Amino acid sequence: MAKNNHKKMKNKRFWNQFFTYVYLIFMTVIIIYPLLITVTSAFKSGNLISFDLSFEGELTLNNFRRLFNDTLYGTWYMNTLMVAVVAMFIQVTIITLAGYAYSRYRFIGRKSSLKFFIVVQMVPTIAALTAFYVMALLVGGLDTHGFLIFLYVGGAIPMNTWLMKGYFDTVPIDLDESAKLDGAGHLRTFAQIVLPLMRPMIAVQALWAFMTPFGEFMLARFILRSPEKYTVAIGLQQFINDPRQQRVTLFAAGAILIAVPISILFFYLQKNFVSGLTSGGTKG
Amino acid sequence: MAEIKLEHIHKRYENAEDYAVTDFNLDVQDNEFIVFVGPSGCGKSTTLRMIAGLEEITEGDLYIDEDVVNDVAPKDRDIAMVFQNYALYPHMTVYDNMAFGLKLRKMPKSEIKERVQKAAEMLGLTDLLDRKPAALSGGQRQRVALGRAVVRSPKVFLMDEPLSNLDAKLRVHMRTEIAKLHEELETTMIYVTHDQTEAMTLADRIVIMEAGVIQQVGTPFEVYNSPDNAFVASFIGSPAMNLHEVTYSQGRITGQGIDLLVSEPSRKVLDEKGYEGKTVIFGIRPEDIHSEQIALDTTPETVVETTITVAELTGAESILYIDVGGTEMVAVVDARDFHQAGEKMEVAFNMNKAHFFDVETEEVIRKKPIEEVVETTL
Repeated sequence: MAKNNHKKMKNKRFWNQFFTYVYLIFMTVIIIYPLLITVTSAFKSGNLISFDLSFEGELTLNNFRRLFNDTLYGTWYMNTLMVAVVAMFIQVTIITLAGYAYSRYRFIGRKSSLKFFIVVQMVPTIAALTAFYVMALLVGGLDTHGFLIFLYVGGAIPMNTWLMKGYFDTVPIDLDESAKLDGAGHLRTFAQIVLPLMRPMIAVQALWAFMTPFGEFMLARFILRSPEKYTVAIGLQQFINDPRQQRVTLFAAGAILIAVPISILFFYLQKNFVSGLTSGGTKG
Repeated sequence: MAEIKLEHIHKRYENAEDYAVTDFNLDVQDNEFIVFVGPSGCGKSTTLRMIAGLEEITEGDLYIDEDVVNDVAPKDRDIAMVFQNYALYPHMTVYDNMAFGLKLRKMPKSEIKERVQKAAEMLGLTDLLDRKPAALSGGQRQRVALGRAVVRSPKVFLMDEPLSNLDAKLRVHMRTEIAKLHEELETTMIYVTHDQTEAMTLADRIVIMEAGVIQQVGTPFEVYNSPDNAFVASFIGSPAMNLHEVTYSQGRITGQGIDLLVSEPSRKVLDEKGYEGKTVIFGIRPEDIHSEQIALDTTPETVVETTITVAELTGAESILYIDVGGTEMVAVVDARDFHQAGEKMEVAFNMNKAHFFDVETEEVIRKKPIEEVVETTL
């Protein structure tokens, strides 16, 4: 009897592991396959007309050279970097301050504005495009990076303020009170006591804000009209949207380069992605 | 070094109908150790937080020394507070935790170092100064929290249930530490707890609160021996005082199976106050119900036959739940007499130590002011 049970358990463990590995392999393929296509395409010579996974032909860096010499890719890249950095700083500053205020202070309209944020969040960006257009016309924001940054930051505020508030709520208010009694004012309490404990969330927010302009297509396409103002997302799309002149290799090369600044930022912020920063401060 | 005066302090939270604290009046002397004690939600923490400046005072005046400080920011009140859950800054070392308040006061570095070292020595934290709070045990964290308050040498020390997160043994140890600390620092301290043992052992004076109202202010001796009302009587002392409604008539109390002769002084007061034939609350502490032969012999008129329903041995003493004519009472007797459940036992009530309370107001029925009562009991 006991022996039988033991066998059953062993069997069960085998199948558990089997399915775990099948699942992992499946997911790995899904993730790696398109990446592999892009990476190999970037180093292929000539103009491919479609993506496929093949390792024939010689490998070359020509595509990268062409990107910077024959196209506006360099300009687009700098545009995107500029938009990303500015949007990141503005967005993180606003939502951190707002999140702190919502978490720590009680003021008129606090609850209703938080609810309003959720409602606003339900409206998809595309539904607001007309409104954005009117706004852009009114303030002369069409074809400017400033207005694009404005839309990126504005769109990110509601959801991320919620997230920030939630994270601030996990920092015990006793720490604020303790700092107050120690002689710290509002700003110092915020900057020296609470903010250091928010590092993981701020790092995540910064990364998200930075990544958005590199991948976002719809708003950029809608606001930016002249090619020298493009961001990489809409710039690269130019290479593959003409059915007669598909420049897949160029597209792939440009796409890969996007990973560079994001990876750098990720590795730079990585040390902040730690949990349990508030542990030890309080109990119960 | 400061005196604190609370005058008609009221607190009502926003959106709340009732006051959390009602008409709180108290004079705290310089260097006094005051303990607020009461059940959860009685307003003791709220009062402490009002003194700290963390809660607004709805009505009334709060004085520190000669100044009204109602609208003074916490940081300018020169008060230090130890929180129930320590509230250490998790990203700072023990040293920085203690130095933070001093740095904000623009103290020179050398003096900060000196003060922190001294406090660390006093609290046994010298080897831990470079550690972060996460790497400390509960007791050590609590000591850091104390140290953070000590280094500032504030006018007033506030403590909000500082020991309630520690295990029993450590709690007793830290209790003595805090008592020592008070001796050394000679600072006014206000301490909040729901633990009456802490209150009794630490306090110069105890403030007993319930439902936002002060029930009694007095030395531990006073509140134990002359409770002002039935609530204080039942709250202070463990096991709690036996309280039963009885009828007073012809110098005896009867009812609920109790039939006892009231002592001469009490009889006088009850007669004078016109309680003849009326219902009163009779209170007697468990330790004033005796089972020793000598007690039975001295006061044979108060001896009652009882049955033990439960016997709890605590070591030196036994807590006996006894059936007195159908009423359950608690008695604390010498454990060496060895009693068991089910046993029949004769007990003598020490009626000189009996307390009587009005049924309606639950106020004590007492003629003399409290000081005289204390004197006669002594």
